[in-house]
Amino acid sequence: MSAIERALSSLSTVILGKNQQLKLSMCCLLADGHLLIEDLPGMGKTTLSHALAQVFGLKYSRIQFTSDLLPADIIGVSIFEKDPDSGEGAFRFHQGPVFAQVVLADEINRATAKSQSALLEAMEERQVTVEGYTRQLPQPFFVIATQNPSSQGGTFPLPESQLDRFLMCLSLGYPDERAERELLEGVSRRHLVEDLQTVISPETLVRLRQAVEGVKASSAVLDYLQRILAFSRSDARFTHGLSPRAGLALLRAAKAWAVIEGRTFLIPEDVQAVLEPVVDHRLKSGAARHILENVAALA
Amino acid sequence: MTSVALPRKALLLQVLAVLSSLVPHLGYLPVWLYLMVAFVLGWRWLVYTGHLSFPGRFAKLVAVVLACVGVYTLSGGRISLEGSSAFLISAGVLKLLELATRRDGIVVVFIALFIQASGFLFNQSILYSLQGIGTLVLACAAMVATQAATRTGLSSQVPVFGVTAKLLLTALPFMLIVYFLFPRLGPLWSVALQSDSALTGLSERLQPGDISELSQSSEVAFRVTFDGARPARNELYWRAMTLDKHDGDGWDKSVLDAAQLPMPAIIEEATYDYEVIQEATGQAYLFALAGSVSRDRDIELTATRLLRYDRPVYQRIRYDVSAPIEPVIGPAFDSELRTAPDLYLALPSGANPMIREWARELPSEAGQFAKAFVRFVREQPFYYTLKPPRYGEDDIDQFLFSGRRGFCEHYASAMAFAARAAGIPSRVVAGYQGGEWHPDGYLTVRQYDAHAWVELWDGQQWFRVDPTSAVAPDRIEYGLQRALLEEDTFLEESPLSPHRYTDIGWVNSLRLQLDTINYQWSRWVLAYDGETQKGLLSRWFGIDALVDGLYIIAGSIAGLFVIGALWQWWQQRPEKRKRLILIWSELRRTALKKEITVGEGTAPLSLLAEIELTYPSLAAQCHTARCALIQVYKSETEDMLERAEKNLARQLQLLNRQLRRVRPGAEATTSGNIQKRPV
Repeated sequence: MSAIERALSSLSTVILGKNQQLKLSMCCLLADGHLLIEDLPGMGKTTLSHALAQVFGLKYSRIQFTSDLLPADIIGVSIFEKDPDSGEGAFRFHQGPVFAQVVLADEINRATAKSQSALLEAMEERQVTVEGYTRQLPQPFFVIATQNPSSQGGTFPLPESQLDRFLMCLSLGYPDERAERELLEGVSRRHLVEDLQTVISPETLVRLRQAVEGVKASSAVLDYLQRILAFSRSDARFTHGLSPRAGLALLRAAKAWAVIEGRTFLIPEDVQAVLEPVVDHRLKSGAARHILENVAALA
Repeated sequence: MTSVALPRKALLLQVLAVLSSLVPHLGYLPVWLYLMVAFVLGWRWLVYTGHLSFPGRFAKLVAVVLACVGVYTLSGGRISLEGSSAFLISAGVLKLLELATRRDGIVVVFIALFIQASGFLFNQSILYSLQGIGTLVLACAAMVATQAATRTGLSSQVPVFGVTAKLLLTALPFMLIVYFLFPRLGPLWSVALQSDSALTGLSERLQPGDISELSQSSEVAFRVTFDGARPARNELYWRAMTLDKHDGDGWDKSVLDAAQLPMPAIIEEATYDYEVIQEATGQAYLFALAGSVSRDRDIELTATRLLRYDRPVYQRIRYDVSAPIEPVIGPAFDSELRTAPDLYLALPSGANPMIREWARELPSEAGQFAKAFVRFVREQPFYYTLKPPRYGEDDIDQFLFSGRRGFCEHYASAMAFAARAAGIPSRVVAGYQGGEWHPDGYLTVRQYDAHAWVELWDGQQWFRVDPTSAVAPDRIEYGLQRALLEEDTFLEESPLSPHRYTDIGWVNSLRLQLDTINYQWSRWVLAYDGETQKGLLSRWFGIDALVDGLYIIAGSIAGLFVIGALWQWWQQRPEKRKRLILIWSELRRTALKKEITVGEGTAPLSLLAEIELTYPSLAAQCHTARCALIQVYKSETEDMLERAEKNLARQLQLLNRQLRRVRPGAEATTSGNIQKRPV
């Protein structure tokens, strides 16, 4: 049993009946991308992110986004402190919650654009600059942001350019009947999460990410990927096509998927498997299905 | 077969083509249709941006019902030309709401072309023809962009307008052949699609105000080219119909206008020979100078010496006419005025007592009477105006003795009435007077040249008297615009009409040039009919029989097609498609036949797994093919790829052969719970 399979099976003891989503979120982590989860409250978003941090042995923190959240609440702040020994005062930087390896940004669309962009900049640069001093964020750095799609009153929806920063957008959905019963019968998820063992050490994670880099994409698969990009750029269903960055993201996610499937080369099915979470939030809902129906896998 | 997606470019071009096709119809479309167009465009835009989805069945039903109700109120339940095309247009515009796949796109392109073509029922001038070409280009480009949507999704690379230009230029010779040689067939069926407003012209009843209303239009009524001598302007009285029944209110068309006389031989002595190109009137009357005869077979001579077409004129027609320089309008029948003088003397009893009284004192000899009446009009303070007051009871009395303001129909009506009261047979003639001489030598007669005058019987023949010439000599000598100079009411309702600004040099010369182009257009292009075609065929090719002509047409078209096809084949000899792709699509077709669901996007490995699942007997070959496929995906160099693809092609072909032999349903599939995803 490979490390990935073990990680998956221990995750699935906490999040029941959501194997596909678990795989995809792991895929996102392996591909070194950030994850956006769009779902109603109480669907297990927090549990999932906490469990992921636990299984990968990563430092976890959570930021609840509200409309009065300030960038300093995310990044951290310098405070003037007196050294008790020498009695001399100096500014000292107190790290904000963003200095963690897995950051859960809960209800990211509740905060103002200013605070959102503070986090999104950190996501892109993997470092924060406060008062002219640049601080590296810990590695690996993985942001899981959540959004509530149903109540949009008083929110600041993420613009397209920032949606593009998330490699994938998932929604968990209600559990099926059997999983739900199991959930009701079992013990509290919180205890389960706390008891989760680290299955993949940070060193293994680094190795896995190297494996993702090393997945071979033959020209047959790259052709398919390019057909998808070209189709999205000309089809009347879409107002705009996929950007080159989106194309790279799709390739990276597909490679991570191949690693999860235990392969060292890409096949079109890898692209198809990650197409929906990677593409739908960048184009529009239903985009992936339209692409799957219209772009030939071999041509 | 799943529907093919529509490229963005095609969507835009299709919408533009439909909008462009609406242009010829803009004049008469009701306001609600404009609102509908805006609404549909707005909705489609929101669908495009993702803010709305395509309308559901219910919304579409509501839209169709509303459009039907709108069309019904427009036409009032009758089948009219406007109603029918409004129906077509609303259907075409609503189709934009469900424009999502290639199939819809093709339908929309055809609808746009049809809407454009139906616009020619309303207007055939060269400007609209050019606009039609514009629509044709847009529609063709939309078609090219639609068809360019390939499964590979690389449609954006097709140079849409380049391909369109090539297509249209290729079609040009065919168009010319068909235009010149295709038999002009009569309509296969004929629905009286009488237009409500599209045809302006004289009506069969003349009431005060009719001609002044017609004078608001600058539409062309007909154009005339004289061969040789031209009459003076004040002799250009174009007779259209005679009105001899007066009922106290207006004048009605003579029953004798329908009676037919044998067409006399062409007059040999001094004549004006001229050719008329007449616009559609929806009625059978033609326009001719007094005493005109024509040799055209479709033209009849009426008892009132008018020329008449043998059917209503729904299309522009052309005819040749000769008229004597000194016309004589004889009696309808020899015995006409002896046996039935009542026809031209009848007056409704009671009305207008003053004029009856006054007329009794006028001379009863026709010539003397005319002079006396004209003198009366000239000496009294009569006024020629487009805006006469409304005369109520005893309107002729009021006009003649107190109001004294009127347009030509008032003067003509009053004079004809007075003549009858004086015992002189009289009738009102409606038609056109004058026209505009164009520098190129032809005469354009417009609706505002409509006129009414009087003919009196002097015991031997009818002679023309125009009381309007007494009150407004400018009207006869120079035209309506000059006559109304003081009043400034010429084309009052169309302030932008270039006809109002004939005194501005460049406007006038531009207008005249446009008119020439339109004249040449209608003379040489639109008036090319079956007769001209026959003449052309016999002159150029010596063919007299239509059947031979048909053979020639079919032969030349077929010949051109063969040449074109050969050229096309030579130009792009089928590019050698990769054998692997051919085999792959063949395998997919076979799989579909063998009840395996396979879509456009189905990836090869998934299809192999599906085949193996459905037909376990093929597991071995599926496995071999899978290994070959994986080699393709694993290959790192072009060399390796080529070899792997060759091998894969062979394996897929083998699998295809085996798959063809299995019978669907023959093998019990193992439980559907097997993990379908391969690898």
